[in-house]
Parts: sequence; structure tokens; C-alpha cells
Amino acid sequence: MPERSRNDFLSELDAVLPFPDDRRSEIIEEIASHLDDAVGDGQSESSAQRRLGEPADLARDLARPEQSVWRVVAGVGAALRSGIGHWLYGYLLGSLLLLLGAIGAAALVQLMGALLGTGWSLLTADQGWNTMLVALAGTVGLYYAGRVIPNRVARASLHLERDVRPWAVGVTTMVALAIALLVVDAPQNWASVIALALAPGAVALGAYRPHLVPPGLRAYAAILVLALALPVMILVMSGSGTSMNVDVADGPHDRNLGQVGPWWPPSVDADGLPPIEGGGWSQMGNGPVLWSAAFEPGALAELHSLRLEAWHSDLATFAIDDRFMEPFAVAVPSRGDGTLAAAIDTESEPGVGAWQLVLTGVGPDDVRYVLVAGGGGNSTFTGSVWDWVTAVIGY
Amino acid sequence: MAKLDLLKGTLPLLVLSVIADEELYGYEIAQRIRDRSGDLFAPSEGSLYPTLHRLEGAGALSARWRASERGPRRRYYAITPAGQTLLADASEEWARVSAGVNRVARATNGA
Repeated sequence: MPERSRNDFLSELDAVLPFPDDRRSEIIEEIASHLDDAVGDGQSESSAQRRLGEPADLARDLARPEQSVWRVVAGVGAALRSGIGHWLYGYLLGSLLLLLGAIGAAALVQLMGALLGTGWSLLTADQGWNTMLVALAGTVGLYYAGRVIPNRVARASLHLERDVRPWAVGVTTMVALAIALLVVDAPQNWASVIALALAPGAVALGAYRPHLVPPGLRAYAAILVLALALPVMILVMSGSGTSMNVDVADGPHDRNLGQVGPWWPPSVDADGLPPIEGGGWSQMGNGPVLWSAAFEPGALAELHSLRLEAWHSDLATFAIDDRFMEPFAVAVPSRGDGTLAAAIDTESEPGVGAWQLVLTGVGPDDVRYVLVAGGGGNSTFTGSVWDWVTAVIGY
Repeated sequence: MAKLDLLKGTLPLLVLSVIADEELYGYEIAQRIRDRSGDLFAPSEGSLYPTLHRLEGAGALSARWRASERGPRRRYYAITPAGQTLLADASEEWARVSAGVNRVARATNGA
């Protein structure tokens, strides 16, 4: 046993005893008077301490007779109550700090854009960035929950905190992981997926490093968050800035539809417009995009295997992105009385920001032709992290 | 009240025995056991205090703080009626066990 002063011995015992304050102080007083008696009787301090054993073992033996299954159930209840409360506190604190960080970063980028004349801006479609910010705030919440859960479980179940910590952290992390990966259903991008996947690790961080932020640094938390958030913001900014420099296309024929295939020759009338009207699309919530268009009788007589295709396109111009040789989603339209209609899912493909709908059909020469540009829009992959990962693997 | 399992340890019986006649505090109890056993038993205080608290929780002992003439106040333990019953039962069981053990040991030595 290492040499300790009596105060250290008693402090260590006090720290590990899983009893309420009044009971703990009674035990400490009793042990202190025992040590007084032993030393007064001629024993050395270290010998008297040695006969009492390690503080943790003594505390464990004192608590053991009072442990029960019901105490463990009480421990789980205490963990839930305090864990949820502290998660909420941390989440709100994290949201506030991130908000400050985002406002600061936006102001900085706008200022830099104005000074350098680049027109930089943080304006961007969501594309999962909000989910990432929420996940970061949730991570702060999990850190705060991790700080208190082992202690509350230990106190309520009358076990030593060091004994229950691995279990409490393990179970809490698994629950948080299941929620983050399987339950949270939201717009996703790679950053939100990483943030959600790593967030449960904050439980262990809080439990094993409860004083991660030194008190002196807490006053500068907002600056710290700004510094951390800035690279992400600049990344977003650079992405949207590039898009904004692309010239806006003029008319349906300039949307890079040549990437899809040749135009169906008879479909272009004397004015250069196809006989199928472009139609329109609508979407309710996160449901599929509902597209419909009217067509002139006989216009599709020579075509078969019609399909509505969704292609990656540029966020600003909706011109089809050269990098993609295939549509990311396809739907077979149904023919009505002079109308075509299709429902197409644009939110199950990771990485899609803007898209362009194109109606195609196979002509008599077995070539797939472009019949009409069906309109463009933007959306974000929406689902859980698990959905995102499985979609990427099956990409 | 459950009987003491003497095969697992005799410390509760020893504690109840030395405390049966008068109130004692922890250090005194350890000393008294050592003295009465002729230094044969010297219970570790690390086991003594958990045993005292367990017996108190079981209603066999009561405890109260008393100021000492010199030094800090001490926590004195006294046996309760339930503790008396437990002591009687435990002593009887111990007598049976030790007699049985002695018989077995003597038979082994005589063989």
C-alpha cells in the first residue's frame, strides 16, 4: 500500500463511499477516530491504515450488505432522470455556442468576401448541414450526460462509481449509438453522418474526462467554437461559391441534356420546342417528387420504354453534372388520357443536392432519346445514418 | 432473523460475544477480541467495520455517538434483544459445528 497521509486516506474513502452525505461523514468520523486510537495505542499511521485495507475495498465491503436488485433498478431510474436533464442542458448550451459560432463565422466570411471582392457567402442549401450542427449540439449534451450518469447510478444502487462506470458508459453509449444511427431520420451528408456516428463517444469522454474544459478556458468557449466551426463554414462557403460562378443556362436546351442522350428528332417542332409540355412537379414533405406532363396525341407513338430519370445537376443552374453518366433515380411513367405521370424518389441517394428530371424513351432504332426536360429542384438525402451507409455501399 | 453462516466466518459471533456485556466502540471491539482469544484472533479492521454496520443494519446492534474524555467522539455499539437471540443461536450452532469438527479430527488422529 502506498504511504498516504490520514487526510488523503479519509478523502479517498469519502470520495468512493456510495452513501448520502450524512452517512458518509459518520463513517469518515468513525474511521478517523479508529485511526486516532490505533496511533495512540502505538501503531504507526501506515500500519493502522494497512489494517483497514484500501479505501475502495473498505467502501465496497461497507456497501455490499445494502445492495439489491431494487437498488440497481433505482440506479437505472436515477441515470435516466439525471442523464436526460444534463443532456438537455448540454444540448441547449451546445446549440447556443454553435449559433454564436455560426453567426461569427458568417460575419467573418461576409467581411472577407467584401474586402477581397470575391462575393463569398455562407448561403447554401441545407444538404444535411443543419443535421450536423444538431448532432454537434447533441454531442455536447451527451458529454454532460456522461459526466453525471455513473455517479448517479453508483449513488442510487450503492455501488462504487469506479465499479459501475464501465457498465453505465457502455449501456448509455450503446443506447445513444442506436438512436444516432438508426432512429434519427433527417437530411444527411457526409459531415452529418460522421457527426452522428461519433457523437455517442462523448458519453465516455464525459465519464472519464469530466474536466475536459479547464475553468480558465470556459470563458473563451464561444471563441473556441468559432475557431472549430470556421473550417467547416469555409468548406461550405467554397462549395457554394464555386457554384455561383457558373453561368446560368438559358432555356431547356442549354441544360446539358446532351449528357443524357440525343433529342428525339420528331419531338422538336418548328419553334424548337418539344410537343410534350414540360409539365411540373410537386412534393409533399419528404415524399416522392410527383411529376406530370401533357402530350399531344401520337407524339409518343414510335417510342417505348419511357422513363422519367433524375440526374445530378448544378445547384445554381440545374445543368446536368458532367461527372455523372447515369441518372441516380428512375421511374416508369403511367400514361393517362393525354398525360404522363410518375413518382420519383430524389431523397434516397447520398450526395444529391440539385437534380434535373428528364423524360426519355427508346426509339425505333433502339436508341434512348431525350423527350423533354421535366424541371429541376433540389433535395437532400433523408434518412438515418444506417440508411445513408447502406445507400453508399450499394452505390 | 437469519442465522449466521459460521462456516463463512466467525467474526459476527466474535463481535456479538465481546459486545454482549457492555457498549464498545470499534477499536475496543478489535482489542477485546484479540485479548480474549489470547492473541489468537486479530480481526482485520477492514472486515470489522463492515461487519458492525451489517449487524447494525440487521437490527442486532444499535449505535450511538459518545464524547470521549480525550480525543474525538466515538461510535459505541450495544447489543439489542434481537442481537442477543442471534448470539444465542450462533453460539449454539458454533458449539455443534466445533463439536462435530472435533469428533472428526479426533477420529482422524486416532486412525
